[in-house]
Amino acid sequence: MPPQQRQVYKLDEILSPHAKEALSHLELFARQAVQGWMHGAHVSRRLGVSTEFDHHKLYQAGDPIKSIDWKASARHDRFYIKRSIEDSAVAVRLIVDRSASMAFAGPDVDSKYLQAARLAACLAYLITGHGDSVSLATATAGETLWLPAGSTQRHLVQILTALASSEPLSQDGLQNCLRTLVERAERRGIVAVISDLMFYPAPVRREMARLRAQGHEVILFQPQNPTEHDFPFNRWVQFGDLENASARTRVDTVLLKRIYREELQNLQEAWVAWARRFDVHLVPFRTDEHVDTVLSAYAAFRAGHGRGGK
Amino acid sequence: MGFANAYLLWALPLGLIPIVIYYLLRFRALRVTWGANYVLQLALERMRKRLHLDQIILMALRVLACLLIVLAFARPVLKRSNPDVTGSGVHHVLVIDGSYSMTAGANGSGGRSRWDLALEAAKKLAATWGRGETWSVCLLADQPRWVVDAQTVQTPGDPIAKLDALRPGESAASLAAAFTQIAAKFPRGRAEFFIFADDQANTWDQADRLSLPAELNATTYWLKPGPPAGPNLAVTALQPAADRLLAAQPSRVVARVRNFSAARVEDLPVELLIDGAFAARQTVSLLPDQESPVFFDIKLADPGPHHLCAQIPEDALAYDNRLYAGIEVVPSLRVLALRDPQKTGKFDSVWGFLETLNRSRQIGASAGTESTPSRLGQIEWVLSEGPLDAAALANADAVILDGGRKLTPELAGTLRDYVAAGGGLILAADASVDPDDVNHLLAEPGLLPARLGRLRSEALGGDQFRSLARSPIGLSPLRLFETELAGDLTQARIYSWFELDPRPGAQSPLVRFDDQSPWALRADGPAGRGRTLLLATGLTGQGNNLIVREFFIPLLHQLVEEAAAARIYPRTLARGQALRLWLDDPAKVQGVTFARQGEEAQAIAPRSASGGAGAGAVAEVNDAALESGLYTTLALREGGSKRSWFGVQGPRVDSDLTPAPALLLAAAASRLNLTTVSDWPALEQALLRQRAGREWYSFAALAAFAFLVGEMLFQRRFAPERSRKAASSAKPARRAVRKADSTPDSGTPASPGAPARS
Repeated sequence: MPPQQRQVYKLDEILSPHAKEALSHLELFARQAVQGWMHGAHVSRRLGVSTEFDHHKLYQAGDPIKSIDWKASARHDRFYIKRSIEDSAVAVRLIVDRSASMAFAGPDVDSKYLQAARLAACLAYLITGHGDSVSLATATAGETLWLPAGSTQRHLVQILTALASSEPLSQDGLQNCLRTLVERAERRGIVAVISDLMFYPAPVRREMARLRAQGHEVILFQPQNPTEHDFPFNRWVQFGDLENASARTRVDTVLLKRIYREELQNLQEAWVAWARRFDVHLVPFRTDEHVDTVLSAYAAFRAGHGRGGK
Repeated sequence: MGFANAYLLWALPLGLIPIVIYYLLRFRALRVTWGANYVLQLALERMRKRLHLDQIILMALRVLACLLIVLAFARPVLKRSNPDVTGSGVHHVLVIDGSYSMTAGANGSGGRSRWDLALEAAKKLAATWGRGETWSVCLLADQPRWVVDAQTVQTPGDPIAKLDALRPGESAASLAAAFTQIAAKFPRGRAEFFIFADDQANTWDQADRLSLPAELNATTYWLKPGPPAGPNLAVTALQPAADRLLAAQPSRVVARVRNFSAARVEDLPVELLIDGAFAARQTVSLLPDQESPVFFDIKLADPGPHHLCAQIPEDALAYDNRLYAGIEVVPSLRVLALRDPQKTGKFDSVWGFLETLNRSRQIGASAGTESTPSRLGQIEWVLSEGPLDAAALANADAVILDGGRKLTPELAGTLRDYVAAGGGLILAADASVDPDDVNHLLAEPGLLPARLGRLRSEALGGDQFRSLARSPIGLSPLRLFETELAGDLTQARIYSWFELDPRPGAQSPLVRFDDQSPWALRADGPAGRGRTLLLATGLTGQGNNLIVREFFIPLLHQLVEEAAAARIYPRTLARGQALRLWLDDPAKVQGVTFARQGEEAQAIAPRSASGGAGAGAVAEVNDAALESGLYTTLALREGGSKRSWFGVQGPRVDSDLTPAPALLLAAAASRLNLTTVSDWPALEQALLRQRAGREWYSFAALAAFAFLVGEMLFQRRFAPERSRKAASSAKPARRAVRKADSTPDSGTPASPGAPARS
């Protein structure tokens, strides 16, 4: 348990009841076989270790047809899914970029970090709700916060508290955070990275590629601020760097606008190409959207493409 | 290269405005804390590499555009090296229209006349000349007059002073005559001709034949004034019944008004002023180019000199809106009727009728009533039966001679002297007159306007007779009869008359027969005084019914007034006619002054003159330049001075402001290589172009505009393309993911959100 910290955001602000309600029917399955000592809803790589019936679950759209217990369904005139205790629980590692650039908030739009924290909270809520374990790392240069994996409600509260107590600081530390994760060589699971990707991409891509090589499923959530994309300036602007307070850049945005947009698009296209190459889900979302909506859409997308195999 | 407005070059630092704006905007930059600094740095890196030169070009375009705008206002001109057109060494010739049509108000000139505008432009032009330059002024009048003939500018104010002294005159102008002289005066060399004239048709008459010598290197400018403001009418004539009128007797004055406009004029008020005071007003409606008489019936009670004025409201050309006439009102007239003592018959002479008139007047006077017309009382009829000498004629205003007195050489000599001294002779040629004697003794010496021809005698009461015609109207003595107020002349029946054979150059008949042959002719005396009226019939009633017609007494007195008017010199003069004043007793005259109304008087020296009826002196102003207007003379005497009024009436030769046909002007412009301008600024521009070369301000302005457009187009390079803008303003990542998702070999869809939201 980390020392008590001053909360920057309220817990309700991080995980609202509305988001809980919206996420209550969602499930997040691993797209590939995972490793774990705990039983769970995810396919384990260790087949045959346990085949005992555990419980029935009411069928919902998206559940695999082959898991339907036809006898039980015939008796109760409802479709039931038969759950076996042989499935493993998946370990999900949430890595939230806490660099200063994530603090940027446009007019009437929350900061990228707040949206990232909300998304992480929703993911933690969703994962712990299904008994899976979730860990949290808020990546920043030199002050990375690590919360170990856990699946209890108490652990969820710790995660929410950690997210609410953090605020973007200093320079980017995502690369170090990912390298640490790689070096730990933990059991393979799901690594969800939430970052605006506004940094030199090569080191981070290298670490994420190594994670993929270790068998982790990597999901890349990218909060995007509309102001940063529209670049709505037509005059001289002095830009201050959030990650370096002393850096000042004075520029005529009339001349810069086109080039800026081209560079932004190039960067985004490069990330998309990289994600396709390494089979990484890149989920960009705007900070003026509700994260539960984003997460619901993504969960539906994953469910539509079925659960992972070996 | 030079600049017309060189002082504006001080504004060249305005070209730094773009740079100032650049730094001002840079200083007032919006301060933003930016999150996507990594992308910003990438863009800046690229911009530094690629767009640094573009920014410099853009700034240069802006600066150049500002500089060119300033240069355009400074009006750059490209000076030519050809000295022929530099303005120096060129003879400047001002051709100024001095006709009175130039006094017309120019439309849109703020009440100033064409003359004012032309003279103002001429003075501004003269102010540009330097010392030593040669100039001439040709004033257009009936004949072109060289007011300044090839003079050298000594001081800058010299030409201006001479131009200030110019005045428009009462004349027409002819450019053709002026250019004929110019062609002879400037056969070669270099000259600039400046025409300050209106576009009047008579000024530009034969303008298609204007030409300049081929060896003359000339440039010609025409400062063409604007069209006249409003209608244009003129009083063309003002005629009293006679120069000497009987006091308190009705008389008639006719004024003629002409409409020179192209539009009809309704109810134009025409006023008659007597001695400057309003006397009567008539209205007249005129069609375009119509002239109409306007009659005024007047009665002047005070004997002495008077002057009349007919005027209409001021219009575009105020010069011709009034005319003056001078008259002399006398209390009575003395008429001498000649008769031989033995011819006492009722119809032997006119005295038979006049005696009856005299008797009736005496009877009326003794009874306290005037049984005869009142005007008879102011004419004293005197019978002369004895020898006629100068003393007897001295007090006679007119003499009536007919068949009742045999014409002898002595009598003829006396009458010639009498007429030469200013007397009026009425020769009524009845059947008793010996035509040979008359022709020999009176007509051949030039006393009569015609010779007596064949005597025509028809049977009394028969169908063969002649009557008098009322036409042509407007003849001064018979003006009373034009409207039949004084009787109908056509009721005359004449059975005996002489055929008159007018001498060459005689005046038009006063009265005509109904076949338009003359009945009464007038001849003025050789010295301007004296007058002879020759009647083709007698006034006795023998061979005609005149004495029983109602018009006879008015006609008789009209003839008497007409003859008696010659006692004085004419008080209403045509232009160019000498103004003369007869002084009866020159010994008592201390001096004579002459003045135009409103101007200072000048003394004139009388010269002695003699005549058969008495000696005297003549004060004469023989100035052909006397213009239309009212003039006065004052004879200073011991017993009291005597003033006389004279009205000079010039022909309205320049009142018609109708512009010359456009084709004619175009032909003249082509032949003279004429540059037409409307005012001094335009003339200055034309001179600048011609002398100093072509102006380049329009090109500078065009270049500035081109630079501005180029700057705008160049700036578009920095603007985001529409498609990219749409892509980036929406959800660029989503679009990129959709592309990846649609890739067949991608295996796993790259974007989970795209299908759900699409």
